[in-house]
Amino acid sequence: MSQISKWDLDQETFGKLLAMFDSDINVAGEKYECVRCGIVKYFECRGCLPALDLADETINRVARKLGEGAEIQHGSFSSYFYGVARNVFHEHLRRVDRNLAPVEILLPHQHPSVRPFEMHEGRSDQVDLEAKLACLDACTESLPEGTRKMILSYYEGKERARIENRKRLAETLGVPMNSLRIRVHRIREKLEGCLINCLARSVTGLKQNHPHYHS
Amino acid sequence: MKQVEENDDLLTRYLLGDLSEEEQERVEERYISDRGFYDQLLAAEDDLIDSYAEKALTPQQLVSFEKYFLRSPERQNRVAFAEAWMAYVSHQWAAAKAPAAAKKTTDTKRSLFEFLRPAAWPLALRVGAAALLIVVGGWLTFEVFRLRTQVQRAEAQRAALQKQNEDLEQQIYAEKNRSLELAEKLEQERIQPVPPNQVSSEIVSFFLTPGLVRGTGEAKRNVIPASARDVNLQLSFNDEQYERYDVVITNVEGREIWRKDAGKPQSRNGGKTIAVRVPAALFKTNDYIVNVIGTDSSDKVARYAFSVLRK
Repeated sequence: MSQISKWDLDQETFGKLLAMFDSDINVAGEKYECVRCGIVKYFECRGCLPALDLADETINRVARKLGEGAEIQHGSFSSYFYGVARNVFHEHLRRVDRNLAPVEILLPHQHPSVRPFEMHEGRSDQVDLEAKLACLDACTESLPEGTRKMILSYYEGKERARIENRKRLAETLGVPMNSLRIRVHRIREKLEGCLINCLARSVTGLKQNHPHYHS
Repeated sequence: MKQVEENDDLLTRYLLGDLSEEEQERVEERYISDRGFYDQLLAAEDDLIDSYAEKALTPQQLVSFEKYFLRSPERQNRVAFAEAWMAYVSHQWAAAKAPAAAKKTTDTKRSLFEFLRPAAWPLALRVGAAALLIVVGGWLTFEVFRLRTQVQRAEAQRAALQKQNEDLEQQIYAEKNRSLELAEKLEQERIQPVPPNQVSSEIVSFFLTPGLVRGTGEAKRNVIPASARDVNLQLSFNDEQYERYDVVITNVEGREIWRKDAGKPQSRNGGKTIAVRVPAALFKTNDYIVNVIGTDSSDKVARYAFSVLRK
C-alpha cells in the first residue's frame, strides 16, 4: 500500500500519537492496539485487501495530521480514527474501480487462476483433513491442561445441550458467558496460528521428501 | 445478558452485511472505540463461522454468509480452521464417549446383578421364589434321573452294537486271511505245476500212448514224488486179437522188472485202454519200457517209453 502514501511514521510522531491515547505509555499502547485491531477489522468487514496495509495507512495519516499540528479532542480520538479510515476506504474503492481489468487482458503472472502447484498439493481432502487433525491434536496438546480442558468442554455437545454446557462452564469458571466466549476466541486464535505453522512444516517436509514439489 | 444477546444479533447481521449503511457505521465506530464491543464482535464471528461449519445457518444467513462474509481470504481461512476444529472436537468427544458407554453398560449389568441378590427382594417375593425353586428343583431332579436312564440304555445298546461290529470285523479279517492263503496256494501251484495225471499225493497217474511219452507236458521225464505209493499207468493201444492182456515193464537193458495180468481192456474213442497200478518203489530215476502183451502169448501189441524222475 505504499502507493497510497509516501509518508512514513517516525518515532517522534508515533510518540505523539500514543500520547493522545493516554499519558501512561503502557495504557496508551493497549489503547492504540485496540484501535488498530478495530480498524483492521473494519477494512476486513468491508472486504478490502489487504486490510492490514489499509489500517497502517489510516494510522499514518492520523499521525501525520498530528505532526502537522491538527487539534484532536481526546474524547473523540477513536472517532477521528474511524473518520480517517472511512476516507481511506473510499479512496481504496475508487482505486480498485480504476484498476479493474477484464481477466482476458491480464498477463499470465497477473492471472487470478489457481496455479497447478497450489491446486495439487499432492494430497486429497481426506489426507488434508487427517493432517489437520494430527496438527490440531499436537496444538491442543501443547496448551496448558486447564486451557485444553476448557476449550474442549466449550465445544462439547450439540445445539441446546451445548448452550447449557457453556453456561455451566462459565458458572464453574466464575466468568460471564461473554467473557468465556472471548477467552475461547483467544485460544482459537492461538490454535489457528499453531495449525497454520504445523501444516506449513508438514508441507515443507513433504516437498523435501518429494522432488516433484521442487518446481 | 439480554444486552449481550441483542449485540450478538446486531453484530451477526453486521457480519452478514444485512445492516443499512448507517447501522454499519454505528457498529464500526463503536467496535473501533470500545474494546468490549470489539471482543464481542470477534466472539460473534466465531459463532457465525461455527454455525456455518456445522451447517446450522438459516437459508437466508447461508446466502449472505457465502456472498458477503466469505469475500475475505482471511475469513475463508478461519472457516477452514473451524471445519477442521469441529471435526477434531467431534473425534475427541466420540473417543471420550466410547469408554463412557462401556462403563454405562457395566453399570447396567451391575444394577441387574444387584437386583438378582435375594436379600434385596420383598418377603412375598422371597417365599414365591423359594416355592418356585422347590418345584423347579424337583422337576429338574426327575428329568436328570430320566435322562440318566436313557443315557445308560443308549450306552448298553451302543456297547452291544460295538461288540457285534467287532465280531463282524474279526470274521471279515479271518475270511480275508483265508482268501489270501488260497490265493497264495494257487500262486504256488501255478509256479510249480503238478503233473497232469496226478490224482493224489499217494497215487501218480500217467497216460501213455505207444511210442510216446505223455503226462508231463514239456518235461521228458515223468516225475514220481517220493511220497507216491503207487503209479497208475493208463495205456492206449489198437489191438483186438486178444481178450486179455499182460503189462510187462523192463529196464533199458531189457531185463524184466515187473509183470502183471491187466485183464480185459476198455474201449475208448475207437481204441483200447488198459490200466495197471505199479508200486512206486519200483521206479528210480531212469528209463523204462512198458510193453502190452497178449495173455498167454509173447506177442507185444504195444510198446511205450517211460522215463522217470524221482523226487
